[in-house]
Amino acid sequence: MRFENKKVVIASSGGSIGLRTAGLMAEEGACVALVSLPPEGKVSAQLTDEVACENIVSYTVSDFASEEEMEALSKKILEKIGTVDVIVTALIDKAPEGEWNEISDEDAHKTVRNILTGAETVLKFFLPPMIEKESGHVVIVTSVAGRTNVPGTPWPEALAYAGLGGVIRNGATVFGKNSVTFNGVAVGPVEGMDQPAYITENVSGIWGRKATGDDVANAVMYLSDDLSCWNTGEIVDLNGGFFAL
Amino acid sequence: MQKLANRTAVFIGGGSAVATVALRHFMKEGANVLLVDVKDEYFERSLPERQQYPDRIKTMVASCTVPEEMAQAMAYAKEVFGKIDILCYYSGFHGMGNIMTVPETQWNIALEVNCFGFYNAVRAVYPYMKENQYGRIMNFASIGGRANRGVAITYATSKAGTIGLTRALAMALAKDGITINSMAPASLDTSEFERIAEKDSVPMKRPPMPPPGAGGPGGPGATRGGSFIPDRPIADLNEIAHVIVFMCSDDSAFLTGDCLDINGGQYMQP
Amino acid sequence: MRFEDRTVCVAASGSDAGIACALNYLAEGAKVVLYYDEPERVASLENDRLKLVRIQDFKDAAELISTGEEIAREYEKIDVCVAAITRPDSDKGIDMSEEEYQEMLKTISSGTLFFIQPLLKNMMDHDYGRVAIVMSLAGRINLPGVSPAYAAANASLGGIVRNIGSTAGVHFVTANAVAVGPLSDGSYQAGTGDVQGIIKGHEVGTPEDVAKACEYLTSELASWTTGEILDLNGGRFMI
Repeated sequence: MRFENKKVVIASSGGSIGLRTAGLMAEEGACVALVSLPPEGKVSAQLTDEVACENIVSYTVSDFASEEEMEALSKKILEKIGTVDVIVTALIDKAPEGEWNEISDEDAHKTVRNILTGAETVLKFFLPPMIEKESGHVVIVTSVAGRTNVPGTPWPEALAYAGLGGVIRNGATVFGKNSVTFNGVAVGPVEGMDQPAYITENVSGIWGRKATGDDVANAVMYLSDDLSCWNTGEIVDLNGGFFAL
Repeated sequence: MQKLANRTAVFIGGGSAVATVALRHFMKEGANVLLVDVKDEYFERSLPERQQYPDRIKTMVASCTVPEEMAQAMAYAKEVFGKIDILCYYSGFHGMGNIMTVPETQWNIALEVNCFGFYNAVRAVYPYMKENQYGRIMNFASIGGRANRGVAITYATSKAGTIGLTRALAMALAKDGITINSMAPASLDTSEFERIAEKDSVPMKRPPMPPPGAGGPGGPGATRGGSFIPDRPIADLNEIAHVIVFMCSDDSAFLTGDCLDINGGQYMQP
Repeated sequence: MRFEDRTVCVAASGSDAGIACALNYLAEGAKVVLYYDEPERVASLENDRLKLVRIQDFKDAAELISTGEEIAREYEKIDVCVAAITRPDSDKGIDMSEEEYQEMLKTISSGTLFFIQPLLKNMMDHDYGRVAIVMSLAGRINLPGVSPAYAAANASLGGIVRNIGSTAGVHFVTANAVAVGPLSDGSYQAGTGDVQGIIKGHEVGTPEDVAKACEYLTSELASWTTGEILDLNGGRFMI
């Protein structure tokens, strides 16, 4: 059991990446706090493994970027699980379609807030116990659209997903001395995720299929394993061969 | 032959040390320049150049975070110089804190200045470049957004974000003959100029960073410099200006969406 | 005249990119030594400051080394070295014969290395140098239809640039590369996919684009750029 007794916090937009990461880690013995956007019913309906279910507690949050909400939630969760060994963020959002200079400032700010500020706020409140005990793994799920040019990428999404790269590298650099690793998985199209057309249509790999939630969860688990303590500041490009640097 | 002959450039954040030295090169290469910054005090740095070229350099106070002010700046450039060919975005904000300690306000300001501000400037200049089906846009990012640096989380994130933003805008504006690139320098030698605190920045309580190579936040092995070129751990602003002239001239007509690293070999992207 | 009093060595094979570089340096006042192996490419070139050097075979390391040593002796100080040595890709992919494979690696990879080597030594002795290498986008990123050998040979040029940047920096020598998609003269092909640029009116790169990029990288003021690859592809690939 790879993650026996490990305390894992997963922040999810509600799609398959968060769900399958929670499920597979729970099967490996982890104790998981799965925080998702509503509706909660949708989340628990997808978790069918009974054993795993015992190890997963679900929470909902309305705004990952709200410091108030995240502070209160983190206190509640930490009281229950005591500490944190792994933090996973899998936050996506869709900017409105249309011409680049017709996206409203409000919508643009919302997209960046949901993807980027949300991830930062989760880390702000769940990282301290890891730093205190001087061990832990952070895995941030981002998008290939933040790594390179994917035709049709709305600029707020490119901004936010690229910004997550900065969080990964900076976290790795600053907290390496606390033995906390920071890595990322940059995904293309994934089954069970509500992704925009520019990803599902323009990012074609060589397998002739999309990634599954399990594909991504396995990459996340690889990076969260204690044996991966020499990986840090790395972004795994998981896009089926569309972009290989 | 001058590389920027008869070109008009708008420098947002034109009062910065980098912009002031770049201005000298732009004058030498034949351009007209509108300097835009948030306060008049910044323009004192370019007094000698402005006195030497009164018809070719103009100034204006405006903020990159206010879309209407960006629109006014571009309109003014068009009025004074007749057209706009080049946009150089120098505005920047460092912010403070690590992932756990960053104040929400500082996080938001960094995104506003380093990311949304760039977008505001591009959106404002676009109609003028579209009309001529020609444009060169330079976004001054940083190695802090590219590689492992122990900088403030606000800086690392917003500089990484602005590099991604540059790529997306490059894709969108290529159809109008406009190229957009970013550059990612490492530390710079701004000792020629007196430091002006960034608007909305929080005064630093801890001592300044140790010199490059001496280590810093991030543990004993982490570096904050260490170029392969001896005796000089940081860039000279004339070297930076050289990159900017290339990105803004006809010489770089086939370059778009790229991020030019300039760091003495501190980070070599494979 | 931005390169007045500078001595520039250019190697051109398989493309007009090297020729365009040589012409650009001449226009900027440099003394230019142009290595070539295809007489048709240099037939119309003539200039007081231009020396044409016929290379029998860019795969012949000994020839490149002895030629370089001779040129270094003749000109005393070499300032800039630009390698634009390439050959067409094969459509055989992984079924390429051992012979074809050697041809590919020895031309592009070894040819570039041994052209630079004697000149680099001269630069390091003088504590000044600019090295620029032209490579294919196929060595940067995965492109459909590219043979493994072509990808490998071009990727190796990135390694060379980073290595020289790291090891020769102590002598104030910089090394950088320009990675290009297919050029308008038909050279530097990059597979079977869509590798055109997206800039309206300028979808295909020209040898002159390459020349200007090399000029930028090899200027005296480019002293802080080293180990870098400039992606010159009209927006096809951005990182």
